[in-house]
Amino acid sequence: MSRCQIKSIKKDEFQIVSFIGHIDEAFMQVATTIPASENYIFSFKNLISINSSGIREWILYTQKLKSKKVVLTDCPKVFIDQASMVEGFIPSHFQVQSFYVPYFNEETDAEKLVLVQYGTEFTKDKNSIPHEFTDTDGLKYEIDIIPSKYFKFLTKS
Amino acid sequence: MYTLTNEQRSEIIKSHLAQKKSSYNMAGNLKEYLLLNTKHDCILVEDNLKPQQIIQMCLDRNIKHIIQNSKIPLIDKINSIDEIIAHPLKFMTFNQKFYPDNDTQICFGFNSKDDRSELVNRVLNFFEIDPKNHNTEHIPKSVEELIMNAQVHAPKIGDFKSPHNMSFLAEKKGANIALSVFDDYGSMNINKFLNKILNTYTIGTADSINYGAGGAGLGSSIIFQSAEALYIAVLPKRITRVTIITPIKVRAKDREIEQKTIHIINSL
Repeated sequence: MSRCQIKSIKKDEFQIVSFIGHIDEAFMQVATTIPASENYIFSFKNLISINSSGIREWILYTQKLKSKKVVLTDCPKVFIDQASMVEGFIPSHFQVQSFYVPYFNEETDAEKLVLVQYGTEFTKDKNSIPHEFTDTDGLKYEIDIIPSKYFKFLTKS
Repeated sequence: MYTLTNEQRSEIIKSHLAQKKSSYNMAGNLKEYLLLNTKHDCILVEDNLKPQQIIQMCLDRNIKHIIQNSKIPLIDKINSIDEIIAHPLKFMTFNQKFYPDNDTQICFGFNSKDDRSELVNRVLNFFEIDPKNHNTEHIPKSVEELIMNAQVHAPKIGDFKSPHNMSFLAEKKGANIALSVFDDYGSMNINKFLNKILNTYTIGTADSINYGAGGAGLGSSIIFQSAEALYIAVLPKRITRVTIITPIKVRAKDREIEQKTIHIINSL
């Protein structure tokens, strides 16, 4: 039984699909229940993990969407890690609308995830995602990934 | 940052060899290692070996033990393997713990039908890890893969008809943890396991994916990447044990300079 739950609603020309839980070896069981559409918005806000078999199942699923318009939103670190490591994890015609970037404060060990948006912090041609920022309490956070690795998917897709 | 000088490494080896528990040899570099008498277990203590290199050396030169200093100190790793080589069969049981003087541990059995999310959460709760924290994400990732291997892949490799026993041992000492999975299929092919890891480095992750029957071929690589030290042991048709030792928190920049350790335990 799949550990991924799917919630899907139709809005205008888009089928908006939320992936909740874990993408694993049984992912295709639920992926095939996603209603057919020409345009999709996939939200990963509540995605917890993708295991090794889930990576394969996700790629197989995306191959069924070759002629569709697909926008990806709220992509968590577990998703972006794979996107940057596995060629074809995000097919070139998919568009990443937003994804999370992890930051860290050395003094307090605090972690923060910041959602960055297409058109604001990044586009296909530019990446102006800040490498550090100061929060409202005056705490300084530095980027907590290796930018050349984590942002690799931006140049691939 | 973790690299020792030749003198420091030699000194640690020399003082350890004077008090080792059983017959094995140790060398402080590959050149010396190749001169060792292979009648006994041989351990290579090195520095600056990249993850790909240590897997390559295990496969090409049949090296079973490569230890490097890293966030977890070299001497702790030498002491662990000293105990294991002295009692290899004990390593195939719960009796071989990495932190035996410590009562911070849990151990539980599971079967192929158990909800994996619940099993993973049990380990995370024990370590008080918030699954949303990115610097501890290697823990849920590796626990998921270790348990999936036992639940899904191990039974298929040996084409076993009846369910077997599987167990998980999680230990903690200070900032470090040990995660061990045991199954009594004993079906793991260590060379295949290592080759799958190597493939992700040599041909890339995407081209390493198996689209045929069986696993995706990426789990071994995820486990290796999550580990500072990886221990693999198989008693054919009896037991497989895979253990990873890692700091609980690992930042991305720490992972970049980490020096990995690997042990292939011959229990026969």
